[in-house]
Amino acid sequence: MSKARDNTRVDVWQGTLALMVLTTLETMGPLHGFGLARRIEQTSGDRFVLNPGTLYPTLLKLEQEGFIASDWGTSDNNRRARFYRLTRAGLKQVERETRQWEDATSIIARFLASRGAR
Amino acid sequence: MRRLRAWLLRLASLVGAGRTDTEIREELREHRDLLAEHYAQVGMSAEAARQRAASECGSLSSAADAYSDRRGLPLLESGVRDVRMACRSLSRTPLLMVSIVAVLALGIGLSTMVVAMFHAITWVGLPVTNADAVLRLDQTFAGEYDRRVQGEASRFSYPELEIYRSSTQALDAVAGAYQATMTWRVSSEAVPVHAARVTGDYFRVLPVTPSAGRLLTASDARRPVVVISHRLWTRSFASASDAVGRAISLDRATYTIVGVAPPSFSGTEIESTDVWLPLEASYMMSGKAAVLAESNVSWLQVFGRLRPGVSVTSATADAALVAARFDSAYIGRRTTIGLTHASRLPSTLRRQALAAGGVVAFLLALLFVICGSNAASLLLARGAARQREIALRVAIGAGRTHIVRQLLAEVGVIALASGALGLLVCFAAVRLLSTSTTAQDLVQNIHADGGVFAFAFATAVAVALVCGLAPVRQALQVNCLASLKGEGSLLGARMPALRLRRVLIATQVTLSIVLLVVASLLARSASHAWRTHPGYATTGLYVVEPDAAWQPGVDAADGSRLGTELKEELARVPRVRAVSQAALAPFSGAGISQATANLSTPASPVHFNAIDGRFFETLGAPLVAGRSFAPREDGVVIVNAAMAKRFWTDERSALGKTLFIADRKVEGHLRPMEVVGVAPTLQTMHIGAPDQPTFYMPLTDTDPGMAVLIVRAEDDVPLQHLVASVVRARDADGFARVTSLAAHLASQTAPARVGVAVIGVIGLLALIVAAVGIHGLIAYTVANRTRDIGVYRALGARPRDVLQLILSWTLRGVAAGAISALLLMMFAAAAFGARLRTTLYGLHPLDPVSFALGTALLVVVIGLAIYLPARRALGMAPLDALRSDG
Repeated sequence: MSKARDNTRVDVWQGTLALMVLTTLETMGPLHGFGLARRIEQTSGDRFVLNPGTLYPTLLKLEQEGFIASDWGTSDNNRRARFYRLTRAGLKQVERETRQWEDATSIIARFLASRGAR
Repeated sequence: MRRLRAWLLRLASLVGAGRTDTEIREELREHRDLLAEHYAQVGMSAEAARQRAASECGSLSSAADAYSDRRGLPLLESGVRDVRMACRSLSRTPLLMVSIVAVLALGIGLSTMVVAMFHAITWVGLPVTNADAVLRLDQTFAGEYDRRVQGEASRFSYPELEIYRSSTQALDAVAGAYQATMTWRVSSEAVPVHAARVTGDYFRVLPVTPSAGRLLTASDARRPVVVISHRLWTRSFASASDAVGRAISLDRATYTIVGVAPPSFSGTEIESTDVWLPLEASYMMSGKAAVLAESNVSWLQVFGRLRPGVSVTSATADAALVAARFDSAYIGRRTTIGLTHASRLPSTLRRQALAAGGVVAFLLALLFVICGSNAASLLLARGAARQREIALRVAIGAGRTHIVRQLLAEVGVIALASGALGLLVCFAAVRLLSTSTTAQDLVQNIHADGGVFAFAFATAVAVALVCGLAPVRQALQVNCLASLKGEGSLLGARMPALRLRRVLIATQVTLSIVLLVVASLLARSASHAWRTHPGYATTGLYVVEPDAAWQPGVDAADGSRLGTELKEELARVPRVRAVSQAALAPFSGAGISQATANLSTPASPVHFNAIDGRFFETLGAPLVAGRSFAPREDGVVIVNAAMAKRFWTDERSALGKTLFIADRKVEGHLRPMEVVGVAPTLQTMHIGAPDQPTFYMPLTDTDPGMAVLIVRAEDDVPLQHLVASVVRARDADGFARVTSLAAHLASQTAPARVGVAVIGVIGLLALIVAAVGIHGLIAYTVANRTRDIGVYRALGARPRDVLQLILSWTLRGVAAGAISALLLMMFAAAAFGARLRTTLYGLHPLDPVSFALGTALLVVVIGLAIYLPARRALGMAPLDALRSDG
């Protein structure tokens, strides 16, 4: 386990975290903050470190923008926890951002391909 | 949209809506516990797992901070914090703050009021629909002409008005108005009211919506009807709904009230109009309809409404064509017609008012800069005292921006507080002015103008803000270590702010002296103007105007005979010293005619009046040479000294000479008259200005119009009562208006006195501000250097040396200020001297008395300002001083 915490891990890149949160909620359904963080770290192949100081402001921002909503609930081990879920606007936002990312990565990919072809 | 929503939610959270801090902390704690559990599950000991989780989550509180930063609006929150802190820190030096705020508030309040006042009088059109289209018509004459003038020469006669009305295409409507006081009989009392006799189109030119009833129209020309002002309606009729339809008696004729003007409309003059009545009807009812037929007389003010889409220039050209037609009837006369947007001032007065406004604005600007530099130096002094505090805050990690933000917040609080207080001062001043009858008319139009208020207020606050920035600059130069050690205040150590402070003192002294000198100069010149002796004593001098409707239907000759009888009866009353009859009373206008001493030179325009033999005796201005008129004498004239000097060489040489004057009956004919007397040059037109060359001819029974009586009586003679009883003995309903010339003059010079009072107040404020500022500055400097003084005294310095030390801190600034003020005034005198001299009624712009007075006042005040804190410093025991924190 301690090996996982080596320097191959990177801090989450601010702008992308929102999309990660939204897609994770889309696939996993409602999650509390810790669950969300763990899931994102797992999905990244444990290459991301997600600090509460980074995650929670992002969650709050998304909530203020109306893409996610939250409520107090009870977690698996019977603890009080705040659960986040995707809203209808959030769903649309996932689609929109996914499209944008795909566009952006495909463009970047072409540049990288041209570099490889040289 | 999303952004707006997010921002609104953040804003809402500021007032406690949304997630609370506890909730945030709870959620974060939860996260840490879950992480610890997770580590425990993968095989760590409970203790190790907890430690691991804690280290990974980092400081919970910093995460919570990041979280709550996102939640609210940190900039706004810290702004609020800054302001709160500013208030706290300002309240620590209450006396200083109160003086800064008071000084700024006075400056802001008074300047806002003056700006609004001048704007209301000179800039704003009349309060009528589409005021931009309302023009005032003025005519000026040149060349050779002979014309009777009532009021100002630029006015029109009734036939002229009619021709302009029917011939100018560019004007939709043209109306004339004659403003005069009429006597309203309420039961047995005679109340003077400001009346406007207006022609039919008056309310078409000046369209307003009546508060009750209707306004006057062209069809009212022959009806005895009247529209009353809203003020008269509320004050004298208690806003009675049945006021319309009631009859009132004005100058002995009965008029029916048909309407009430709206509260916003109080006529076209600075003085509010009380009643409007049809011009034609009012003259027909008083049997003086002949006045309406006279064409060569200036008496009506004329207003026109511009046809839509027509420019003022083309309307002026249009009117000039009509003027040219008149000129062809009067050979040698050239008329220029001027059309200007109508405000409450006629264009000539408007220029004067603007000039006066300019002077007042300049003085206020000076006062304002003084207030500003004052506030700046006080804040600077305070800043110096706070250097240690600031240094401490820098040392424990406060950023430069943080310190600046903090200081800006303090300045902002001061500016806004003084701005708010300034508005209160402004409203209070307006209220105060509106209780005084002379100034009432000046301020009654102010309240409506929010825009001007806002503008003046914003400018004032902005200036206050800018002035407050000096200490911020200073704070940035703070030397952390030295300040903490308190070295900043040791003898010989560098005081970075000292030079800036000296410059501020010098500026303040310069401006204060300039302001005080200008104020005392203006006050002196104005008092000079109204105290100038008009050549005769005005106290005890009365003008008696027999009722305008003296005897309806009688002709002018009869009217004059009745006047003569009244004169004889009054002359028999004991303690009435002299009674005289004249065509024109002093300060009521003049006749303009043509005269020459020599038929080979063309006649030039001169003034004239028709008088009886006792005129000069009654005024108490004996003739310089020759004699007065004998009863029923004709073919002789008396000239004033100004005329004698212009036409002949001196007063004596005029006697027995022949003066050729334009014959009023035969156009173009000059009638020879023998000069039998020479009168002194009096002031009967404008107070403060000697009369133009004037000749006096005998008043004959055939003179048109009514002559007035001039009465010199002892103070305690109940003249009003006497005149009334003499008149009533003849005619039960008759009455006559009695005006005291002194009272009349006082009302004429009232605007000038208000102006001088305003300037005086500004000067006084400048003095107070300078005193407070310099006192505050020196008190602070002394307080900060108490330890220096202690060291100094401990080393054996005598009180005199300490005083010298204190003086050396400030006296250089004061001296520099005085010298630059002198240079500034000399420069101004050299640049504008010639022009200033005429406005100053002959005083030299560098009038030594004014200069000495202004400077002396300031020196006394500054002396006190230095002395008081210095005494405190000297009174302190050296040991206490050494122990002091400063």
